[in-house]
Amino acid sequence: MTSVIEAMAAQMGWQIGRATVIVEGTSDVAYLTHASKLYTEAYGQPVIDSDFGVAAAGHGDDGGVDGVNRMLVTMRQNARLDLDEAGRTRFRFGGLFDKDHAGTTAFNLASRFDPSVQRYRDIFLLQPVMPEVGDGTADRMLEATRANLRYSQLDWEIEDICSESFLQRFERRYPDLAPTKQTVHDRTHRNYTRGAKRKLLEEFRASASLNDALGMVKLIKCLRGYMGVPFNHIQT
Amino acid sequence: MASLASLSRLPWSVVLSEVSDRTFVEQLEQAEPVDDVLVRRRGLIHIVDNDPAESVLPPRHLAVHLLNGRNGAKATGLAAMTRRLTMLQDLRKRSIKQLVFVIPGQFEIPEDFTDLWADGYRTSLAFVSDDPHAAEAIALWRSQNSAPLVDEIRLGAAEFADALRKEFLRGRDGSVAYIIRNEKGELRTVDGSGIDDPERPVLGSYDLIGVDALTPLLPADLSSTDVDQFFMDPTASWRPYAAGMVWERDAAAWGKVRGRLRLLDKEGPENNRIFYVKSQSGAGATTFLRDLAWRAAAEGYPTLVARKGMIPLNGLEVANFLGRLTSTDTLPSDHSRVYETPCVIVFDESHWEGRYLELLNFAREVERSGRRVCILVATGPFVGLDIMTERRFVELAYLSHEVTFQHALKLGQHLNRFLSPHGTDRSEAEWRAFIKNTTVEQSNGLASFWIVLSFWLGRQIDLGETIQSKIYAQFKSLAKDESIKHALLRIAAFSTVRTPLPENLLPPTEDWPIADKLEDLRRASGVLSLTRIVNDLDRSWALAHDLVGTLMLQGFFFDPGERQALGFEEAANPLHLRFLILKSVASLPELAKASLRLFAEEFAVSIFKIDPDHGHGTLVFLWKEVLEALDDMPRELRTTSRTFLHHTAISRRRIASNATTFMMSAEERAAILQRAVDDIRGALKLEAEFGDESDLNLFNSLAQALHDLAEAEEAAGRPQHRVLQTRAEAQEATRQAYTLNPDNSFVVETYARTLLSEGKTNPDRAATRALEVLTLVYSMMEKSGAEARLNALERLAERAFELLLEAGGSTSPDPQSEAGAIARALYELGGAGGSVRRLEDVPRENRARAASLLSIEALLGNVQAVKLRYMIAVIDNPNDFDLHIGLLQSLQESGPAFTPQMELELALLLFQKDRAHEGNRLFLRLRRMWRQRQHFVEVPDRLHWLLDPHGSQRRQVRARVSSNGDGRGFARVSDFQDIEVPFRPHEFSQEKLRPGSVFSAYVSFSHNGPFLRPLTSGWR
Repeated sequence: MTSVIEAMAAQMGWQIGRATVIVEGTSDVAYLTHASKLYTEAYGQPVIDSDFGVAAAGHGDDGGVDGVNRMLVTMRQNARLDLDEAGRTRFRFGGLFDKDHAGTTAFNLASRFDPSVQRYRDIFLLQPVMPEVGDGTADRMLEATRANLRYSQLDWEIEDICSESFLQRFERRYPDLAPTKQTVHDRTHRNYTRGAKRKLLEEFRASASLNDALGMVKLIKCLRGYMGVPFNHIQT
Repeated sequence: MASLASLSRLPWSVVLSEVSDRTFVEQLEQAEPVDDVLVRRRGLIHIVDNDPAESVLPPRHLAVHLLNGRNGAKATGLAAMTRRLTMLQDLRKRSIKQLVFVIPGQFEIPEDFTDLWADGYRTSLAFVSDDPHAAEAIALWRSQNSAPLVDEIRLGAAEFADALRKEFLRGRDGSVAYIIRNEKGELRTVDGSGIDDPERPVLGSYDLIGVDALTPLLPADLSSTDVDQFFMDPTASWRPYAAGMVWERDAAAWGKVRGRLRLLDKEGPENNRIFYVKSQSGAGATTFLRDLAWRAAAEGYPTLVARKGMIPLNGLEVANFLGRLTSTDTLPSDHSRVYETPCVIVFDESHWEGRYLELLNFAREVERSGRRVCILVATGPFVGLDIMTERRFVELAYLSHEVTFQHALKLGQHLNRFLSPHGTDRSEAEWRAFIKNTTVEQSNGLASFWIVLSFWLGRQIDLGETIQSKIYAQFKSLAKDESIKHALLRIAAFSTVRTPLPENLLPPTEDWPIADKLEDLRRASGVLSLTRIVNDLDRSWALAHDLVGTLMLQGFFFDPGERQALGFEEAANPLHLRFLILKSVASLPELAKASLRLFAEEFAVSIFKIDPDHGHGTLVFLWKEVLEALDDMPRELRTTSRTFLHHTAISRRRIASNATTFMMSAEERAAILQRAVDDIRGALKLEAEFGDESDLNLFNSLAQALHDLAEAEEAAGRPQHRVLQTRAEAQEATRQAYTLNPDNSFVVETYARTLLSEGKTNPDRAATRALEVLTLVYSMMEKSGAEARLNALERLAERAFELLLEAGGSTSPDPQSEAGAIARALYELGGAGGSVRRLEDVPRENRARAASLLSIEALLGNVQAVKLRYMIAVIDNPNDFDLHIGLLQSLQESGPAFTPQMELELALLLFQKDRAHEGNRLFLRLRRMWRQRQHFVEVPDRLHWLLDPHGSQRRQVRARVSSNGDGRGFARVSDFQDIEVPFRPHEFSQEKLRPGSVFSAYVSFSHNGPFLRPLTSGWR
C-alpha cells in the first residue's frame, strides 16, 4: 500500500515524519535540517527524523503565509483520511509562521480557513520566547502571551535564532550586507535584504557550529513536543 | 372505457395502452382541476401518440403512450412499428419497480413484451385478468421465460381500477396546511392546496414544514421508533424536533436567525442573508439546520427544506412559489396588506457544494423578486474566499466532532429524557465510559463522535467495538452476491462525496432488478443505513452518513482477497479505491442523458474537482488520472455544458498554477493551461441557459487562465511573440470581464494583474499602471470581507511598488511631470520598503503629501490620480462633500474606471448637498443597471443617513404623502424639491397614511435610493 500522504510527499519532494511542520520557505527548511545535521554529528542522532519532519510551503510566491495555510488545509484534509488498518491516522501536520505582519495576521486568521485548526496545537508562531510544551494548548497560549508581551513590537524570523556571535561574524565579514536592526529589551531582530539572506544561509551551512545552531535545535525540540512526538531526549 | 380511463389516471410512472379509441382518449384529455389530489401527485396527463423522444414534457407529468396511435392511425407499416418500438424502448429506459398488465377479455401476454423480456429487460410483474385461463397462461409463460417475481390478480379491469383508486385515495387528500404569522406576530393556519404548479412543482423538490409537524410534543410523546429512527436518519420525521430532542450545539445560532427574520419583518429583501454552517463530515449539520428550520416554521415563518438528491435550482420558481405562499391570506382586491412574511429555505451541503456563486445568484433572484428570505445552508469545514468575502453570507456556526467531556455528559442527561420512557436510557457510568472511549479513539482516528453516538444509542455497536470493523462486517453480511457488493461499493463511494447514486446507475443484474434486491436489504442494513431517496423526478441511493461510506471502503481496502475478487486489486489505498469506483460510473454512457445532466456535471463541479484552496484536496495525488477520467466522460457534456467545461478548466488551472503541489515540466504546465483556455472559450460559445455559468465568471476565469498561460509559456521558453500574444488575449479577456462588472473583487484582482503585466512590458507606463493598481487595491481593502484577502491584496500592492521601483522609482527628478508626481505620491504612501497597509493606516501627513502631489496640473485628467485623491479626501475630510462631489464628477465620463460603486456614492452625495434632482436621476439609472446585471456595491456607512450640514446629526425632512401602493407609500419631500420618496406606513405605526398627510422623517439610503424612516429609528 502507498498511503495518500506518502504519495503526496513524494510528489512534492517533501521529507516528512509522523508529525510534520510546514514552514514558510525553503530557507527555513534549510536552516532546520542543517541544525539537525550538526546535532547528529555531535550526538549521533538527528532531531529531524521519521518521527518529525519539516517541509517548505513552497518556493517564492508559492510559499509564505498563504502557502502555509494552503498546504496545511490540503495536508490535514488528506491526513484525516489516511488511516491504517485499525482506523488510526498515520500522519499529522502543523504550521509555523514567522512573527511579522503577514505571519501574525495569518496565525490569527488561520482558523477562518480551517476551523479545526487551533493555535498552539496545530499552528505556531515563531517568537523570541517559544513556550514550553506544558500540559496543553491553553498553557502554551498563556505562557507565550506572557513571555512575549515585552516583544510585541518586535518582528522575529528564523535568521534571528542563529547565535549572536554567528550573526556578528557575518556582519563583520560582509559589512555591505548588514541588516537594519530593531532591538527590544534583550532581543534584536535583523531585517536582511533578500541577497543578504541568501548569503547568510550559505555561511550558516558552511561554517556554523552546533552552538550557532542551538536556537534552531531548541525550536525543533519545542515543535516536536507541540506535535506530540518524543522530545525530552534532545539536549540543548 | 370509463374504468380503464379511471385506472390510467392513477399516479403511474407511465402508461402504455393498446387501447386507443376515441372515448378513452377523450376521457383522458379532459381538463383536470390543478388542486385535484391526483394532479398534485403526478402532474397533468399527456397523450403521446408518436416517438416519445419527440415530446418535451414538463418535469412532472403522466405520459400515456398509445401503442397503436390515436384512433384512426395506421396499425401496420413502418411508422406503426417505429411508434411501438420507441415506446417500448422508452419503457425500457425507465427505472420501473413493477409493471402491471391489465388485460380485459381473453388473457394474452403481449408478444412484444415477451421479446423485450427475452432481450434482458427485467422488473417485477403483475397480471390483472378475470380470464379463468390466465393462471395457466402465466405459468406457461414463466416456464418459458424465467421470471421469478410475478403476481396474478384475479379481477376484471373495472373492479381492479375501482379498488386501486379507492385504496390510493384513502387518507390522501393531498392538502398542504402551514402556519404563517402577520406583522404583529399572530399566527394562523393557512391551506396551501393549489398554490404549487402541478407540472413544475416546487414541493417535488422541497418539503414545506406543515402544521401537522409543528405541534409541540413532550419527550414521552415520542415512540421508541421515533427515537431510534432519529438516530439513524434525522430527516425521517419532524416529531423529535417538535419534542425538543435536538441538543443545542450553538446557543447563539437561533438568536442570529431569528434576529434576521425579525429584521425582515420590518425591512426589505436587501436584508436577505445566507447563513452558513461550517461542519466536519457527519458532525450533525443536517440535524442542526432542521432544528432551526422547525423553530422558524413554528414561529410562523414558512419554511422550505430542500430534499435529498439533485434538485433543480431555479431561484425564480422558488421565489414565485414563496410569493403565492405568503399571499394566500389576502383577497385579491385588498390593497391594505403592508406586510409580507419572511420565509426560510434550508439546504444541505450536497445541494450547493462547489457552486456557491450559483447559490448567490439563486439568492439574488429571490431578492429581485421582492421576497424576504433567510437561506440556511451547510458547508464543509473549508469555506472559500467567494463566501468569506461576500456580505450576504454570514457564518452561523461551526460544528465538529470535538466535544468536551462536560458537554458530552450534559448531552447524555438531555438524551436520557427521551430514552428513559422506553427503557433505553444509559447510566452516567455508561455515558462516562462511552465518552472516554470515543475521545481516545478520536484522537487517533477519524473524527466521528456524532456518528458513533447515534450507533451506540441505537444499540448498533457496543463500547470497545470499532465503528470501522462493525460497518465492514455489516457490508459482508449483507452483500451475498457480486452484484450487491458492487452496488453497495458504488453507493458507498458516492456517499463519501455526498452525492446520492441515481438508481439507473446501479450495476446491471442477470436476474431481477438490483433496486429490488437492495430494497429487500435496506431494512436490515443496520449501521450502513442504506437509504433510498424517492423524489417525484428520480430515485437514488445513499448511505445515511458519508463517514459510513468512508469507513466501509476503508474496511474493504484492507480485505485484499475480497478486493481482488471484485477487480480492485490495483487500488493503492482507500482513496484510490474510491476514485476507481467513481471513475467506473463516470465513464458510463448513460451520463449523456439529459435526465442525468446535473449528476454528470457534479463530477466536474465537486466529485473530481481539484482545488485544494477550496477544500477539494483529496485527489491531488491522482491529478493525472482525474483529468483523464473527466476527459473520458461522455462527449455530450463537453459540447453542451458550460458548467462542465468551466469547472474542469478550473481544476486544470489550479493544477497548473501550483508549482509546489503539482510538479511537472514547464511545457506540461503550458499544455494544461492551454487546454483550460480552450475549454473556457468552448464554454463561452455555448448559449447560457437560466442558472448556467455567467459570462462574467467565464471571462474572469479565462483572463486568469491566459495570464497563467503567458507565464507558463515564458517559463517554457516559447517564442516571445507567442507570449506577447497570450498576454494581449489575457488583457482583452480581463477588459471584457471588467466591463461586465468592475466592482466584482475577483475581476478587479485579475484586472490589477493585467495592469501589472502591461506595466512590466511598457516601462514608460509603469508609474501610471502602478498607480491604477494601488487605487484598486485600496478600494478593495475597504470592502467587507477584505480581511480574508488581505495578504493577496498586499502582495498586489507590493508588486505595484516593485514595478515602480524597477521603472525608476521614487527618484524621478521631476515631481511636476505625470510619472514623477505619481512615483513621489506612491512613495509617500508606501514608504521606502514599498509595504502597504490600508490607506487609513498610512500616516495622515503622508496622505496629505500624496494628495498634494496628485493634484498637479499634469494629473488633473488622470483618472487614477483623481480616484486616489477621492479616497484620501474621504478619510481626511470626511464631511467635505463638495470636495468629494467635485472629484467624482470629474470622473463621470471616464468609462469603466467610474465604477457603479462610485456612481452610487455620487448619487448619495448629491442628496447630501441638496442636489436631489441630480441624485434622483442617477438613482434611476442605477436601478436600471441593478436590474440588468449583477453588481457588488455597498452604501458606505458614512452616507447611510441624510445628515445635517455639520455631518454629525441626522437631518429631519418634511414629507407629504402622495400615494399609497401595495405595501408601501410615496411622499413628496420638500427638502428634496418635492421628489417622491418611498416609505413603509407600518414603520410609522400606521396601516395607511392618507394622501396629503404631512409628517417628519429621517432619510436612509440603500443602493436603490432614499427611503423615509421614522424619527424613532436607531442609527444602526
